[in-house]
Amino acid sequence: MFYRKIIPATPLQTLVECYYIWECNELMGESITIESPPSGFTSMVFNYGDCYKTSSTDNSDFKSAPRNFIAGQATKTYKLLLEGKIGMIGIVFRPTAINTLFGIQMYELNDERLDLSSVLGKEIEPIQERIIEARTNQEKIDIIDQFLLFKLLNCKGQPNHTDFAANLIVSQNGIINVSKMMEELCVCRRQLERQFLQKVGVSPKYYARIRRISYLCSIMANKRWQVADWHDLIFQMGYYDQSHFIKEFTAFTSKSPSFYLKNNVELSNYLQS
Amino acid sequence: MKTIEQLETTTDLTRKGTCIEFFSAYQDLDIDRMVGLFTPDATIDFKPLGESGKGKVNELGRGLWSALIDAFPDLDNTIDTFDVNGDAITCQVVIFGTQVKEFAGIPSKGLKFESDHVFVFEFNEDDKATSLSVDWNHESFTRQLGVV
Repeated sequence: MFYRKIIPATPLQTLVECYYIWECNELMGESITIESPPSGFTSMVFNYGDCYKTSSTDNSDFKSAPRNFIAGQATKTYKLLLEGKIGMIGIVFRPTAINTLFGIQMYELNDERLDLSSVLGKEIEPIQERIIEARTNQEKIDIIDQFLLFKLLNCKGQPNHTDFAANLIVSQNGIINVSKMMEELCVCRRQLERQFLQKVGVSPKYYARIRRISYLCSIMANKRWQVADWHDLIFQMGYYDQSHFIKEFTAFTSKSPSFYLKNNVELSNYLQS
Repeated sequence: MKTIEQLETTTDLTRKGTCIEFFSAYQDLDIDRMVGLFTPDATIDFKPLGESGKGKVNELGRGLWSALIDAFPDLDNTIDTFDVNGDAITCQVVIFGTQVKEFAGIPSKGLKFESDHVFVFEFNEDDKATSLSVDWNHESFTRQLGVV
């Protein structure tokens, strides 16, 4: 299985966390399920492999994802059910980027994967076609770089305190006192919360919770799910106590931490460390 | 889901937009605007209140929100997130305020409360809200107001 993250062109790095290319020519006739906790990022996926299914529910009620889609904030763990050939290039956007570039009200996209053409209209269709026709991965990356740079040049909105606050929450991995942050930024709470719904999709406090769980899961994956000292980890993550941590973890992943360590099927399991 | 072009030219509210408008009216303590987002015969269910919490939005809802606003004049809310399930939209919302008058038999001690609430709006084919259920931890709510 081939999975690689790619850094975008420099002017896009404030908006795009990374691109990724994920390929596997044949899954040997078997299907695989991959799960992902909420990441705090949004995405756009161009699929040139076989279509796959997704589920955000506890009972694995899988539905077909559009071939090319735009996805908003995930507020809970989701699963992918893949069969046949995997081939996709994805754009991982920073929290406010889709609103900045495309003007979409982000609360409409929470936990959704919507067909790109139906959301963005005809402008995306030649991009989709060119990605399918591209002969190398670098060509695909160049097509996306050019498309996003064009959108960036034509975007009317200027970054404001909402973009700053969202990126601050990302950089602090969600371990941040949001009320204090609002005081320090001298912003009106109601205004910031309203703009967060539009630009990020959830409230600032909820976004910090998502981001913290995302960071925690990435730390656990980097440790290959071997946690030697839970208390130390809980303290590092800024949770009040074990009970608060377990409640929070279960709310976003639908699994207890210990069950998750033993039974998760994250993508990292399929990749070489 | 509307395309960008549609979003720029249309003024009608999406279902999530209706929910946002409801909580915006709630922040403005504008009960007429809150109730006006529902069909005339829309029902409401304040879950923790049992059978006495069931009725019409325009009657029971209006009455309870009036009493709430009267007792907590700085009543406010934060929408955390939405979840769409068929024709229902579940909103996770934090409600908070400071008590200045007696409310539902709870005397005012000037205390603040902050409570996670779950609002479930149901919509008809015309995207009008037809029912609302509201759930919260009532024990925590009364405890924060000083009920031992």
